[in-house]
Amino acid sequence: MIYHLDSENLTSKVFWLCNLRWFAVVGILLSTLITMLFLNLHINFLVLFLIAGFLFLSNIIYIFFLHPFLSKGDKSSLIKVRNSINIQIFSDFIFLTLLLHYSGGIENPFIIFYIFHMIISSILLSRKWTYIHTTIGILLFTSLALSEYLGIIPHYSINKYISSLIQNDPHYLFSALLIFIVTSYLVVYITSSLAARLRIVEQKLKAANSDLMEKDQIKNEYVIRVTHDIKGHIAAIKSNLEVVNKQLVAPVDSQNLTFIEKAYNRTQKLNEFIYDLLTLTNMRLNNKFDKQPFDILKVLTSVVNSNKLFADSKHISYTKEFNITNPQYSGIESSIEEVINNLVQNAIKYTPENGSVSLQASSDENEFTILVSDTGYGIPESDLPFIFDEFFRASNIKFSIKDGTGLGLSLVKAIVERHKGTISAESVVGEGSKFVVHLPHLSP
Amino acid sequence: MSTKKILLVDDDEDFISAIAAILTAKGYKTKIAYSGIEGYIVGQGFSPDLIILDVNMETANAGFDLNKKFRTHELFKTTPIIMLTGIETLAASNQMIDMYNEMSLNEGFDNNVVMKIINADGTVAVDYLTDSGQKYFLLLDSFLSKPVETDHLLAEIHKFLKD
Repeated sequence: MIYHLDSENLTSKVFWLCNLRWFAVVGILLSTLITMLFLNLHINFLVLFLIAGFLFLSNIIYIFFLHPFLSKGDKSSLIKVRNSINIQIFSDFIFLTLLLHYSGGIENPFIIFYIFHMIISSILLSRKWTYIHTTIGILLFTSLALSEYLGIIPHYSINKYISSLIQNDPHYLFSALLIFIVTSYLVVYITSSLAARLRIVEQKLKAANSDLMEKDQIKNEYVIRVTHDIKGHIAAIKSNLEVVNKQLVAPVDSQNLTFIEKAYNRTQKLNEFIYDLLTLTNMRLNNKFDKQPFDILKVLTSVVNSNKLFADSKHISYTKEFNITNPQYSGIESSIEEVINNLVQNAIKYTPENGSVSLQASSDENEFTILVSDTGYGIPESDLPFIFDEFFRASNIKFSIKDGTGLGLSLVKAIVERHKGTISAESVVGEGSKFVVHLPHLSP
Repeated sequence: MSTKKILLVDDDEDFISAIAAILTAKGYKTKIAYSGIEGYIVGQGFSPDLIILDVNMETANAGFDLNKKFRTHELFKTTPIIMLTGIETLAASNQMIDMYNEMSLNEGFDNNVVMKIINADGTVAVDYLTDSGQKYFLLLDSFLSKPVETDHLLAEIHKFLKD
């Protein structure tokens, strides 16, 4: 399998390796200090402290040289980062070998620390490099043990029993070395196989993700294309009908005029319908939530004013009651206006003449509550669960009031939910309906 | 008061001829061009007081390109231009602009959507991709969406022509 260097992972992990090294320095210092204070061992402690100091220095140098590559992801800096990891692991092995040499060699239980770097390298690097590092580690350790055994370099014993065992019985040394070698290769084999499998899964997930993004993009482009075309056709129909309807070019006889008027009104309705449908679709497709702070009181007032004429035309008593201490709200202003406007318009539309409609709004530190109530026709109980469904219209008004799109409340609900709010409805046929919207304050 | 002249540029013949009829009825002198290239030629002979421009014509951004060309032409430097189009626009906020900049860096911005920035003085700017693929930031006098309410369009024209 070809191993692809993953920029983000490799650069972040090289710093993880450097961070681990700080702990190693502290660990060496502490264990040396404890040994010095509590165990009666004849070791040159100064050399051990010096080695810890050099390890500390080496780490500063790595971080200093790696810093410029932190945010870069190009190929050449990746190769530099990888080379740096190779150098780091190699020099860590040297430090470890030196440490072990001055603290008992093969007698020191810390010999298993070679395995840490072998694991790290199988996580970070390709199999080839992992096996190279493992072999280097093994070579360093075996040559240390053998040189000490053969007396080429001095042996600083920390355990006289193991020491005499090694001197008197070479089988012990060779079987210890063999076990070390086998364990190292086994560990590396297992970790690098696991890492490779994880990399394959990761790549599959990445491919699936980019595939999904591409499909999403195609869908978005399709909707945008359709939107543009529909708007173009409606614009042409509407403007042409307007020329005739307003008799701008030539007079139209009254018999024909009624037909033109009907066509013109239906075009207006179609226009509203398409607008609702496209806004709803767009909202579903785009996850962009572009909120901005605005004054909710201003929006409420503007909705009240724009519906006044409509309410007056039906002799509806139209009241407002705002109890808002802080009108600042963060969201999509035009969408929130659409929500309130839709609810108020519905209330007026579905309330018979001489009825009443009220818009109440209040706030506390957690949320805004908007309540729209009317004394209208009401919604049958069996219809209530479906009123927010697309294209659904209540059975009692479906045939008497024909100009509803069945999309208004779906849009309202989608907007409210986009703002992490809730909407609910209560209604009694013949008495009226009540819609309550809760809009929580969103963290900026 | 002399009759004000309005140049209409749109490839949708049915639509723009109706708009022309409405504007003629309101007392304006109109001339129609059906493409960006034609608009540029017709405009120079007509010297309009105001221009109404579609965006998506012979190319996706022909209207913006023509707007840009007019702006750099001595004759049209100060002529108000109303963009009238059915393309999807995004209103821009600070959050949006941050997101946009980030996406442009990664070349992941959805270029089918033109970003619309409403400036404090009421002018509108758009960010779009020219046909040569360059990003261009264009300041507009006005940006209306199709289908437009005639009253809204007339109000916009009055605003610029002060008639």
